[in-house]
Amino acid sequence: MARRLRLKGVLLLLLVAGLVYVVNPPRDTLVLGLDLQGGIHLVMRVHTEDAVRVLTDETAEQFAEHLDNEEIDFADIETEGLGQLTILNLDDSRLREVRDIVAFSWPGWDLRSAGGGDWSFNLRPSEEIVVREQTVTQAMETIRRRVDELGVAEPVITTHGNTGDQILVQLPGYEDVARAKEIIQATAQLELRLVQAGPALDEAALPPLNSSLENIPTELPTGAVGYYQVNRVAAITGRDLRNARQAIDFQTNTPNVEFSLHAEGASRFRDFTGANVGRQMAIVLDDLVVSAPVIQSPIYDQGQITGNFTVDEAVDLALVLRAGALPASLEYQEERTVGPSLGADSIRSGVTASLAGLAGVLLFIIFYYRLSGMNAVVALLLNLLILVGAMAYFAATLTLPGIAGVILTIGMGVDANVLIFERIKEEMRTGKPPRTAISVGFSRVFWTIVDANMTSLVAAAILFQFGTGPVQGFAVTLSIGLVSNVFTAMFVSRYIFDLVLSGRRQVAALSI
Amino acid sequence: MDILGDTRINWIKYRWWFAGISLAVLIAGVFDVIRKDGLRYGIDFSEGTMVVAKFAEAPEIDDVRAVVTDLGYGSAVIQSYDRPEMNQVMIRVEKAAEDETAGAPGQQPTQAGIDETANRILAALRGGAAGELVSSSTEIVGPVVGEELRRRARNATLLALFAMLIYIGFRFEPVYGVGATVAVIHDVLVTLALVSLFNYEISLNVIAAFMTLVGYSVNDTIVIFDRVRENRHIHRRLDLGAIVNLSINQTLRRTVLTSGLTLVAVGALLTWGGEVLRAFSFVLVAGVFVGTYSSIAIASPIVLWWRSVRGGTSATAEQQRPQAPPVRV
Repeated sequence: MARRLRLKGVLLLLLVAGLVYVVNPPRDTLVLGLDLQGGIHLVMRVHTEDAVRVLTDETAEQFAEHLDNEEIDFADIETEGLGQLTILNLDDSRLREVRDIVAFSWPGWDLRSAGGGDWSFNLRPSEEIVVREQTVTQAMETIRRRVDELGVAEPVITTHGNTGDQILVQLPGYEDVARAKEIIQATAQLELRLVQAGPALDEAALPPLNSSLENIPTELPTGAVGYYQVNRVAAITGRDLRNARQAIDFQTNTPNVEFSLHAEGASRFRDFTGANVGRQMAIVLDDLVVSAPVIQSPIYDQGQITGNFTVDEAVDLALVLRAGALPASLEYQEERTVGPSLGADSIRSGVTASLAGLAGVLLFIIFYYRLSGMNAVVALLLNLLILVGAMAYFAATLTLPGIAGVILTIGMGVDANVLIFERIKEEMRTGKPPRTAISVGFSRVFWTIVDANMTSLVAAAILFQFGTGPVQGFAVTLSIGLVSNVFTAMFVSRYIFDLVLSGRRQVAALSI
Repeated sequence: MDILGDTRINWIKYRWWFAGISLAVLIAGVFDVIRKDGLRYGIDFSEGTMVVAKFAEAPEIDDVRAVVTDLGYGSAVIQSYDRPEMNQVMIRVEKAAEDETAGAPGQQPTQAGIDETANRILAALRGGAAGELVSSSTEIVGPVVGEELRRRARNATLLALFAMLIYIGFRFEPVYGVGATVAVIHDVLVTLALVSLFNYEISLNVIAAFMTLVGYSVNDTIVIFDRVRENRHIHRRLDLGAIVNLSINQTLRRTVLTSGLTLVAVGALLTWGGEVLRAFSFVLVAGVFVGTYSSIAIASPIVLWWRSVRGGTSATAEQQRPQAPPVRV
C-alpha cells in the first residue's frame, strides 16, 4: 500500500513538473486570441473567376498562335464566357491534327462541333474547379509572403467557410489596418510594355486599335486621366523580378522602386531595350501606367520604377513586388480590429474577474469542507494547470469562448468534488468509519462523474467537428478540461485522502 | 459543517407550478421578441459596422452623435461602452444606413470597400470635435459571413444535443435522455427569453455561453438521474415518484453547493468582467439558475410523466405515498 502510494506520488509530481515546464513562462506559451490580444481579423473572398478569365484569354491567344503555326485555317476565336471559346470556321479537313493539339497541350479542354464549321472549345467543369482551387492556394501563398514581409508574428492564414474561395487572415498585435489591407489586397501585376502612342487625353485621339495593341489609362502630370497605346504583350512581368526595394532617385530626389531581374528575364530585357532605344517603355501596374520613361540605352538586369510615390508608398510597392502578384483580385467581406489597448483592457478585467471568482470559490470550499476542502482546492488547481498546460502544448488559442470553456470546467470540477464530499458525508452519517466512507463514497460517485463528463465530452466532440472558429475554441478547452476533471477528481483527490490517512492506524474523525 | 438538513420536500407535487412559471417566462419572452421585431443579434451576425472609440478624456455622447450625424448616419446607435472611466464610445451603423450614404444611385457601393463607413467615422472623430481619440476597434461584417456563422453554430448545437440524447439514452434509459434533452431545450429557450427581456445582444461569445449552459444543465440533470438509477435498485418497493423525490432531496445539498459556487465564479465575471464580457456572463449566470431549476422542475417530472403515460402504473407521488421514507440507508 505504502509503496503504491509513493509511486503514485512520484508520478503526480512528474506530471506537475512537466506541466510547469510546458507552461512557463505563460506570456510566451499561451497564444491569446485576437479578442484578447488586439489585432486585425480579415475575411476576404478571392475572385477566382478572374483567374478563369485570364486562363480563357490566354488559351484563346495561344491556341490561335498554335493553329497559325500549324497553318490550320480558321476565321477567328471568340470568347463566349468563362472557359468558353468558339473557333469560327475551322478547317474541318485537319480536325485530326487539331484534336492532337488539344489532347497534347490543352488536356483540360473539350472540343465539340457547334455546327456550321464552328467549334466550341470549353474548359471542363472539373478542370475549372482545379483552377479555382489553385487560385485560392496561390493567393494564400502570396498573402503569406506579404504578411511575412510586414513582420507580423504568428499570423493565421487559412481558408474559411465552406464556399472554398474565402480566406481568413489574422494579424495578432498589428495595428495599422489600412496598410495591412492595402498590402494584402494589392494585385501587384507589374508589366513593362512598349509604348506605341500617347499619352492622349482621349482614347479617340490615339491611332485605331488592332489585336496586338491596347489602350491603358494613366494619370497625367496635370492630374487628368490620359491614355497610352501600348503593346498587348508585355516585355517583362512581375514574375521576372528577383528583388525590389525602395530607393531615392538621385536626379529628382524623389522616392522610387529599384528592381532586379532573374537571369532569364534580364536577357529578354536587354534584347527588348536594345532594340527600342529612344522609344518609351510603359511601366504598367495593375492596369495603370505609372510612368513611361524613355529607354536611353540597353538595360541589363536592373531597373527602376519612377512615379508619383511617397516614401511609404514606394516601400509598400517594393514589398508587394517582392512577394509576387495575386492571381486574382480580393474582396473584403468581414473585418475586425481590436485596438491593442482595448484588447488589453478587456483581458485585464476578464482576468481580474476570473481570478476573483476562482478565489471566492476556493475560499468557500476550504471554509465549508475544512481540511478535505484543501484537497479539493489542490485538485481544482491541478485541473487548471493541466488545462493551461495542454493548451500551451497544442498551441491552442485562448479566446473569450475558450474562457467560457474554462469556466464550465471549473464548474464541473467543483461539482465533482462536492459530489464526492457530500457522498462521503452521507456515508459517514450512516455510521461508516471514515476510511470505509471515503472508499464507498468514491466508488458510488464514480459513474455519476464519468457519465456527466462523458455527456459533455460527446457534445464537445460534435461542436468541434461541425462548429466554426470560436465554437471550436470552446470545444477544445472544454474537452481538455473534462478529461482532466475526471482525472483530478477521481484519482488525485483520492490519492490525497489515502496519503493523509495512510500514516494513521485508526481514523476516528474526518475533517470534512 | 452542513447547509440544509435532510429535506423532505415533495418536489413532484409542485410540477404544474414549475411548468406554469417556465411557461410564463417563455410567453413574456415571446411577446418581448415580437415587440422588438426579433432577437437582437450582435454585429458578428448581422451586416454592418461597429466602431469602438477610446478617447483621452471622457467624451460627450452628444458630441460624438453630432459628428456621426454630420456624416449622414443619423440612425447610428451611439452609447457609452464599458466602465465610464475608460472613456469609450460605441458607434454602430446598420447596413441599411450605410447604403443610404453610399453615394449616388448607379454607383457601385461595394467598390468603395466595406470599411468605408468605419474609415469615415474614424477620420471624422480624429478631427477632435469630441475629444482626442486614443485608440479604436472596428468590426465590419459583410452579408455572407453573418448568415453562415449563424447557420453553422445552430447546426452544431442541434447535433450536439442529439448526441447527448443518444448517450444518456444509452447509459440510462431512453426516457431519461428525453427528459434531459427537453430540460436543456427548456433552458435555452427560457434563457433566450431572458436575454431578450434584459436587452442583451446575441454575439458569437454569447453562443459559446449558451453551449456552456447546455453542458452545465445536462451535468446537473445527470447527477439527479444517476441518484434515481441507484435508488431504484435500493428501494425496489417504492414507486418512481417517491424515488424521484427522494433522489432530488438527497442530492439537494450538492445541487445548492455546486450551483452556488459556480454562480460565484460567473457572478464575478458579470460584475467585474467589463463590457466585452457582459452579455456573455449574463447568459452564464442565467444559465446556472435555469439549468439547476430545470433538472428538478422539468427533467424529473418529464421522466415521471412519460412513465405514467407509457408504463401503466399510476405512479404519481401525491396519490400513493405523500412522504418519502427516511433518507437513511
